[in-house]
Amino acid sequence: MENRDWPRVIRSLWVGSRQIRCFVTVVAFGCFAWDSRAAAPSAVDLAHFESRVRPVLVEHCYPCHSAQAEKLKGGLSVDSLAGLLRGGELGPAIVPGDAEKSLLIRAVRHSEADLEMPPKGKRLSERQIADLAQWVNNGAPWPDSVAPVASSGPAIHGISPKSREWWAFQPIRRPSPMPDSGAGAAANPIDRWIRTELQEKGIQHNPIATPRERIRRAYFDLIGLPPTPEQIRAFERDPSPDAWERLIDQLLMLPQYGERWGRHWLDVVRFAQSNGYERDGEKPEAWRYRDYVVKAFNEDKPYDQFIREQIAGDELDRVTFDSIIATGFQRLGVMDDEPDDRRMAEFDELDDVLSTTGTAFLGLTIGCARCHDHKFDPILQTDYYSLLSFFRNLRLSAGASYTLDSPNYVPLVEPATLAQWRAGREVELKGLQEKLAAASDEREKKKLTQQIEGAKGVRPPFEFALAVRERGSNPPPTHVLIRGNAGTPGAEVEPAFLTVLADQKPTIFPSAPETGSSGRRRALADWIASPANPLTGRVMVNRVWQHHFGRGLVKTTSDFGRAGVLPTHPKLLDWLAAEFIEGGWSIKKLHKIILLSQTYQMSSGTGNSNADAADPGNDLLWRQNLRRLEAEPLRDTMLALSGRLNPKMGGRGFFPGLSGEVLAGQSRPGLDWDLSSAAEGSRRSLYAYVRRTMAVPMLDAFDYSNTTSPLSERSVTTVAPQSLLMLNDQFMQEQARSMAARLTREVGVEPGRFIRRGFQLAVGRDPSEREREVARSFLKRQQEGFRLSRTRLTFRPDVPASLSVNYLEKLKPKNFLIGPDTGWNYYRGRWSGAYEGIRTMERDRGPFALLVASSFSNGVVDAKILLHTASESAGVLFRGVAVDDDLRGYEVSLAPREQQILLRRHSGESAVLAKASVRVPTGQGVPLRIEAADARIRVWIGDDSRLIFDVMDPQPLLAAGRVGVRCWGSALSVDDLIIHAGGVDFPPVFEEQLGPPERRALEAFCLLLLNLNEVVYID
Amino acid sequence: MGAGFTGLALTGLLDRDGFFGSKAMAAEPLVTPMTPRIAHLPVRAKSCIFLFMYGGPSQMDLFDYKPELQKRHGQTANLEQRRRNVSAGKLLGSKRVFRQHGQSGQWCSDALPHLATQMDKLAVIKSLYSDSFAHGSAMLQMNSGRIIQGYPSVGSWLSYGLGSMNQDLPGYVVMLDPRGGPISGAANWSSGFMPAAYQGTVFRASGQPILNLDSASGLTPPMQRDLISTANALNAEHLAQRPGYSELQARIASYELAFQLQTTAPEALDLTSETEATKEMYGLNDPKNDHPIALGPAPFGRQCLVARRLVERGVRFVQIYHGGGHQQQNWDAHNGVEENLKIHCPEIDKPITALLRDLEQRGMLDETLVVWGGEFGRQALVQGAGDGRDHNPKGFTYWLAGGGVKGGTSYGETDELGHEAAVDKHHIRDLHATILHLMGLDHRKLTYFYGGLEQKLTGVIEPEVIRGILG
Repeated sequence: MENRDWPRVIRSLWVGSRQIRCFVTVVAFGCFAWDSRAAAPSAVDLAHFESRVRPVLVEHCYPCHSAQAEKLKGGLSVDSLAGLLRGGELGPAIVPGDAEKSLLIRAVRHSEADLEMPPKGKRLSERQIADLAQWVNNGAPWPDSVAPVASSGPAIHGISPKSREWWAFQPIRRPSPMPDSGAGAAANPIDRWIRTELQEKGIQHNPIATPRERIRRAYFDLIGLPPTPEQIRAFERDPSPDAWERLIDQLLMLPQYGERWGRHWLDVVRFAQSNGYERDGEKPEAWRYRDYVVKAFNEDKPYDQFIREQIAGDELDRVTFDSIIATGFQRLGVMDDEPDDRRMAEFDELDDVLSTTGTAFLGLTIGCARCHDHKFDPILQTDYYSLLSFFRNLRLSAGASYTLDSPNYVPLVEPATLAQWRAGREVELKGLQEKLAAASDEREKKKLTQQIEGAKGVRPPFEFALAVRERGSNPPPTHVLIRGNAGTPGAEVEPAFLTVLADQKPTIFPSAPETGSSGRRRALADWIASPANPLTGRVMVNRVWQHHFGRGLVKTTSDFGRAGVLPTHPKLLDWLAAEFIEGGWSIKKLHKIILLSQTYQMSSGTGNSNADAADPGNDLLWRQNLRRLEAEPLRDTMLALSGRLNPKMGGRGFFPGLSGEVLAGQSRPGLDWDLSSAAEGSRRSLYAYVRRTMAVPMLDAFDYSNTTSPLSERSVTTVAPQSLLMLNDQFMQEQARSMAARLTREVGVEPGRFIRRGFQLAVGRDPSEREREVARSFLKRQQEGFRLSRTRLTFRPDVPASLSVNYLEKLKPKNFLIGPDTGWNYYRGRWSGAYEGIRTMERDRGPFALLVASSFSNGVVDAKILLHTASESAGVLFRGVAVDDDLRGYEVSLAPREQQILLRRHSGESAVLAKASVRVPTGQGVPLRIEAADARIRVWIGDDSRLIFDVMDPQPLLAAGRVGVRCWGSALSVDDLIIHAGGVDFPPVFEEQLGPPERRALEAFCLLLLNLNEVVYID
Repeated sequence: MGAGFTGLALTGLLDRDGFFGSKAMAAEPLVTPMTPRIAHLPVRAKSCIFLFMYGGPSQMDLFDYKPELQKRHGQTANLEQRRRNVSAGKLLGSKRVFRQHGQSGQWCSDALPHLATQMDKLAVIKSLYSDSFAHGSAMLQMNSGRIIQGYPSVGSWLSYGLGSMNQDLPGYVVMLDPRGGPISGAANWSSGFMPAAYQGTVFRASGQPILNLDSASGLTPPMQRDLISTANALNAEHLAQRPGYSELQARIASYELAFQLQTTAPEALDLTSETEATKEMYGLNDPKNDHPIALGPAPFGRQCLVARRLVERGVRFVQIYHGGGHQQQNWDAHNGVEENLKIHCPEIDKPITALLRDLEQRGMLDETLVVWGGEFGRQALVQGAGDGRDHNPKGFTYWLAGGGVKGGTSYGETDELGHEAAVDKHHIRDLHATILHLMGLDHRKLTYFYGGLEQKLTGVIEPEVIRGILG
């Protein structure tokens, strides 16, 4: 670093309180030339200082050499440049620009006896020493907005005038005059701004999209579901000028609107229903918060009220059930129930609330100032702790308890009812206590004492909300934590707003003593929800804009600071914010303003080559953006098209089915997960239970929300597992089947009509001639394929080898092995042990299925066996009976890995009757013939019908039983299964089990439709 | 679930369907999350196999020889047993017999007789420490650098920083113990705030390796091929009307890749082409011992062999969890360290030895980094009535071998009781920085902007690459 960087250091000294002395010190280093080009310290220098130098000073030197030290040692303080330059008893600690001459550097090197710091052999690492030396050699640059970390008294320093000038901190002013885009004053103001800008750049905007495109866009944007073909047609044919506006109004009135927009909000507040970490226990009642959000959007709750309720719903003038539930916002974060350091954990949880508050409402990364002043924005570390003190009176770490004085659960009950119940209980308790006093018999006394304890511990008979309750009207003190470490508290701070935004002190009115609240959060909520707050309105209108255009006018929707991106249309943003606030913070009005604009309604086409060349990123909005559906509307659309969507709202939610592969990732597979009915499982994705350590693949694969910290923009990735899921997942198979059934009900099975209606449903239009042709020939080929394999039965195991006991008990036998819906009975197989609540499947005795109509004692089984790739074992069973889900009977089992075939007898115990080494191929059919004649059992295998077993069982199981299959690892297919017994051949009725080829081809066609890009992307 | 794939090489995939407008084909090459990227530093190891000993193996019973602890067995000592809880307990000396092995003379106990023959390949770091006494947060820290949830795991950082070398397989594969996954499950291979494309893909070492790789719909492969071709033919027409939207093109390609995966992924797992000698070496034919929880070497051996096959095929990061579920099902030896060793050491001993030898014989060891260790170590004090040991993040052992590692190195020391790192101590962020360094990444440059910060795997405190183990 050269000398010209010096003056900024000097300049910075004028900021602190000890400026005069420092100045003198600096002048004493007169060898450095004064340069009037006083530049601010470079970002690189500051980054180096903040990441490498300050942390070392704080951690290793502050305990003895700062304002935080109990006793300042050697008269030296290193928490300001001034202190370092002034030095201590031995003289100045540093000579900027010359590490070799700096006492500090000599001391940390431990190269001179009696000059070793830190003392007692606690030497810094070479890297740290090198960093300090480099910093000194660079002229010891020190940030100019620095607050002495452990200063006393409230923070009123350190914000430079320049940082106050940042656009987002300026008051929201309705811009005037409005630009004239040539369309006259009647034009929608949004269009006036957007188009004026485009005109200036000479860019032609796109025309209005087709009615079909617009209605689909509006449906997905507002309710997250597709319009029906009839709704599209009605809109297309409505010539009235207000057709569009009426459509928007209708959609805004639907309850599905709140489900769609509530989900956007849940992203921003890291919503989940469990605590995360090792046990990931449930946060009971968290779903009430989700339902509150849905309701708030549906009722168009004024946004300022929405804010107040979430931050201080318990401290408002009018406390309602809703406002209590809203405070659940502060309870949604991750919580480590076994933290390494409880002291730190408390502040981690407070940090979660504060950071989320900052991100969600203010679009600021306040959390960055937890350990030091914010690196980019004028947010001081003291600001962070002053803001934290608003929440300091919460008891977040407490475990769940449903009591009347619980810190985290609040009964939803009218005060009068509560008083009545309390009075009743007191009478009851009093009665018991009187009896106890009168009782003489010891047993009687014991019984009464138990009754009293029981009565005291009884859960009050009310519904509870996950909410907050403070610990009293006197909050504990809040200290700045040096480096964010709870073990090193610094100066005490009082509640205060962001220094850069406000000089006024919060006015705090403690609430009535009986509620035991400090009133602090109310003051914070009022400040955030104030029309004068420059961030709140801008941040929210930008979020709404984001979900209508795919991105915000400020692209970084949760970062309006200097690390964020500047607004593309600042005046438009301000105009919208002003409209929003003056319009009573109505989000629905805001939607209408945006959706009625021509800008929103434009086509997303890219054919405009002039515009594409000038603005390929579409920053100026010459077109709409094509958007992929997010995870939830994608899944919901599948359900809507299949006709299975269950519109039920609210409640704890449903548990999406999890495949064996997914369960295998848990330490207790299936623990704390439930099985939901088919109807429950067809509810909107919003109601899928959100467990932090169990990402549901169908949602997760499509970039579902981050449940740990606030998420403001979902990523959009395109990866192969998504396609695997869309093709093969059980959920998709079911939707395709249901959609085919629905189409059949609606238009029958004639291919022409079926195809036409299928396209109408899926993409809202008739198929083109070419598409019809492609679809017809596809149907034909698939039919042929199914005809060729119409006797193929496929079974696929769908559980991991270990399962938690309680989940195992919940699973139905059909969940263990996926196969034909009818004609077969399914069994779990043998699961043993209960170590730590986990049962393990016994190898070779896993899940199996028995063909209902196949009972015989003596007879022949003929089939072609196909082991799918990665199969571990498979078996064909005969004379099979199930006893407690375990098989009794015979099994020809194939072990492709070991390249063996075995004949087993299961009679409670399993015995191998014969074994042969045979290469068992996977992926191709192998003929298998089994003949059972009393005790004699013969088995032939292969295209050449080789006899491999001819066994007389000394302890034969002679009773009649069924034919069955078993497989593990991957699927087993059985072709051409025929049973000859009692002089007749009886093949299973395959069509009954699988459906006729024609129907299966229609199902495959529906699966194809559901996979189309046109379904997944919205123009 | 997991992703970690892509690299949607489109050329030639689609024209066989004949529906492509020339407009659509003229699009620019796709840049995907997994496009290979240039490393910051010389690449010492192209791939990494992380053998995660879930539960926390006991350092003083395996590699960290503490004669003083053995001598003072049964005596009382005051040690930090949980955070800030320094209290008295009885010392538990190891019952294992330690010997020096190989030219390097490194110590290894008789619990791992096979691995003992490989000590000249290992750089054993005995002086690591981390920040949490609890499994949940310690697991998170070992995987993501933080004791709090929500940060990307090491494999995600590597995938993000380097991309993938094989576009037909996931770049970041996780394999789990048959007894169950580790505590916190998928949070351990999460991509945190990064896109889901960077998260680990769980690859079952048996059965169908990847979620949804197999369909119960009854569609034969040719019929499914037909479905994909037809859908993409229609998608191509859709794209032709919307030129310039590369995501539409990417999704078309993702179906082609999905179809390929149904062949390539099982192929990577198919061990039938391996020789009998190889299978024997990995312990695939060995029986398990009589302990009811023990599995014997076959399952982990199979996973180690699959790991080698994956690395051969260009997979960047393979993490195998040994030990699942709870307590003695993994290395969490609260209920008896001798029993724990008896269960788990035979499960890993031959497989790891075979992996190191196999990689060496194939000339792959020089470019593959093998990492062994758990989320913490264990206490010098006895826990419970028997010979249990509690968690200990204050001092524990990891070893590294392969690309860029100086084999036969013993680095750092714990105190004389094996309780706390004492000499050349390193926080695990240093281990993370070292892994990145060996893979060609500079921990300072590998950043991801999120939440207002340039986030780093190693966090805000500057780490130190552990240079003493570099070759």
